[in-house]
Amino acid sequence: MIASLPLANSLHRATIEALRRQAPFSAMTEDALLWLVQRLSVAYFARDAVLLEPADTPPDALFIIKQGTVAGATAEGHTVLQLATGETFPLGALLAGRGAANRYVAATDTFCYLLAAADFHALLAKSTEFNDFCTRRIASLLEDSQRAVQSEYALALDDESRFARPLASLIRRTPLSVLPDTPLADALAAMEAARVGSVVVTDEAGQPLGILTLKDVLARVTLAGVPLATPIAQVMTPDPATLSADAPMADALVLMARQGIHHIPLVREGRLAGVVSEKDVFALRRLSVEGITSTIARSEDPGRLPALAHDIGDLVHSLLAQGMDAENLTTIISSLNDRLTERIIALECEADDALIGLRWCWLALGSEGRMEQTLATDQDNALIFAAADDSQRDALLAFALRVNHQLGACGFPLCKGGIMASNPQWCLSAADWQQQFTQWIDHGSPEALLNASIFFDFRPLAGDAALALDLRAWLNRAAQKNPRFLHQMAGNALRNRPPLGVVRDFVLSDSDAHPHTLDLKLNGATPFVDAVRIFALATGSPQTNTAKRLRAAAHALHIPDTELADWNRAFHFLQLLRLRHQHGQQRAGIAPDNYLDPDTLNPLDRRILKEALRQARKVQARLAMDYGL
Amino acid sequence: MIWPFAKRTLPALDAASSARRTALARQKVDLRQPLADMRWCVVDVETGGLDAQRDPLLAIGAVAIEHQRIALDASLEVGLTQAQSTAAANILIHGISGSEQRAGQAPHEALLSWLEFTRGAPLVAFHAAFDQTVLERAVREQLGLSIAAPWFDAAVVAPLLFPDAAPHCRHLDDWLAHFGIAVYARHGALADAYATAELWLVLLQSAQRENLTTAQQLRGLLRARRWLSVH
Repeated sequence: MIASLPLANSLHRATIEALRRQAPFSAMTEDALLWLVQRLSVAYFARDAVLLEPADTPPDALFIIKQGTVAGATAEGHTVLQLATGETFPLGALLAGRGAANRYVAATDTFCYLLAAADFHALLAKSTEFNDFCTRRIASLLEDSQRAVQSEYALALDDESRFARPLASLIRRTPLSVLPDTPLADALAAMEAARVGSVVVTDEAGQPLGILTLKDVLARVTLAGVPLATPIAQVMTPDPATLSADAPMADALVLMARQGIHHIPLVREGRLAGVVSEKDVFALRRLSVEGITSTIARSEDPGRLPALAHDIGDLVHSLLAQGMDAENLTTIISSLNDRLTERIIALECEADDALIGLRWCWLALGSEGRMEQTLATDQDNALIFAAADDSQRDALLAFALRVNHQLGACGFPLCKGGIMASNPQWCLSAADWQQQFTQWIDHGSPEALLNASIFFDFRPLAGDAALALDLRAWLNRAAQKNPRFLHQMAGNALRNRPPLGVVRDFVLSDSDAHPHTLDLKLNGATPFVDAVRIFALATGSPQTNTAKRLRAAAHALHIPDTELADWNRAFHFLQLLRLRHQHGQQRAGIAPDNYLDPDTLNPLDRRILKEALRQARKVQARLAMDYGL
Repeated sequence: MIWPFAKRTLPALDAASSARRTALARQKVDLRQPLADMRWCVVDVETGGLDAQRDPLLAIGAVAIEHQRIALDASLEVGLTQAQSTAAANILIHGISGSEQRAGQAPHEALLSWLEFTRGAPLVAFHAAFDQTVLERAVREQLGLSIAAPWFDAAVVAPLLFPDAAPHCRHLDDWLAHFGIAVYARHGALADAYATAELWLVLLQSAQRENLTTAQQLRGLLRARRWLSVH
């Protein structure tokens, strides 16, 4: 009660009452409110006055709007938010300890309460309600993060602005250049080594004198029978058309179209700065989900499929750049990988007469089964068939082995644990699968639980889907009938705790293999996936995708909408971090993994990562509560 | 600067109060510093009637403005104990019951607290003449001091800066309504002082837009206006 606060004068009490009308102050304790109020000051901002400028250093105060309206605008002057009485800003910047991204201007005459940054942080520690309010704003924080990602990739959504970008943004490498007296043999070898389609001939100062492309080589060197000892200057195209590196992409398109050329040297102060090819300019347009899908479908030659797998990686880059969210992105990756796998299966199947008349279904397991594939994905698959004699079974295994190897050639490494359709253990009849699942459910050993976590996310990919759907329906009944099994699954899932330390900072791996890192898959995504699988089995949901499972189970389990939304956001943020991390590794020529050093994240993403892991703990807390653990 | 008056008989002060009274003489203020950096003390009083010369001072409310911000922790609310409760009529106006009146501090202590709080800063009130008269009388009678800090009347400054609004605005509530300032429940000395302080923030911004950069310039403007209205 207010009466119990002897140090509060009537102004403090009146301010507490006024603040109380708004979240989060309505939920805060009397003590915390008085502590807050006694540290507030009140300032007035006439209309159009600037409250806060974007800066490199963290803001020195939190603003709470007492009355009036404040507009937040980007550096370009676009108003992105309107804040009214009771709202606070800039929370993200204060939490992340970075400069404010927006410019805050009084849209009307405005009074604000100001809380010094040090007091803001003290209040976070003092009031759990205030802390919750600030840190649960994961949705808006994610938007900030997303914007940062988009600008990081320096690519725009629409063609119009993309073509307005300077050509310099397309330069991916130091241009290949040689001096005029370089023998053709050396120049061509350099092109081959750099895997580029053109070489620019420059003088000592780096000024372009000519260009030679692979197409030129055919006509002017090979067919003309020019000896490879000839200096390149004799066959090059002299005085090539060049553009300034600062010129917009549109200029390159026009020049290419007019002169019928495919390569343009870019210059800066007269010197060669890079080369753009037609392929660079059209790279994004060429890659589309539809384009890749139809190319896969038309592909008759299994040898061409690995190149398409590479295209999928490039598409992911452009989709990441366009700011696509992880849920859609992982679904697209999984869909395209599905198409690729289907095509491989179709090509292998056509060539195999032994399979005629057999009912079988190719099962996707694990992350592929959940439609949550990232870029680092082992094969996890299995086969189910209606009935088969020994020779038919051998034929199925042989076929599965060919498919596994084809997938391997397309960049999906063979599963180290042997969870593949070509393994006789995982190429079973429908009856055998039921028996196998029953054994796991009844046995409950650690190995059984681990297998259940991989196999129970199965999904039909090719062949007779009815076999898989029947197995799913049977499994749901069997799991629901056996609460002891779900209880064991829950206990097992809770053994993997998200790595938040006592001070809510990260506990990092001290292993030699990956020092000072966080395993985003095991410690980040898996706690969600494992808990939600149990929710789905308990409620008999046919879904295998984590987000869809969660949405389907939320109603039956009375999970509030806000929690549901926060959990899904947190899960997908972790997935997005995995994708960005893996993508960065691929670009750097490193095999993608899930080991992230949190220090490499910007403060905002680090903050969201912590929040996402905190949400993982909340999902686990829910699971623990449901199963009395 | 605060000058002692020796002639009147004063209530006897204990050693601690005497020391506090002596320390007040060191308060100084420079009206030439920028308006934006100026410390202001916005004050409002409650009295036992509307006669500034005779009715007793019941309570003082004050807030400080520093760097154009009102600091909520630095706000003063002090009641003055009375020898006898004032008439029932005024209790209705101010809502201070007899027991609350008597629950305050001894007058000399309350005034010392207030003077210390002002730190010699220029004083701001709405219809300041009334508050000035009441406080100067009380300070003289209780402490034998005079208040050296200059007074600024928001009720005079507001019409100067906003002449268009002046015809419709007489009372504090009129000005608050004009600027759309939503205030807390009023009719306590501190609440009124706080409302006046919010108005003063608006006026300070406006004064700076009019190229008035120091309190001295603002005072000059007020003097010129008084001269104009007299002659």
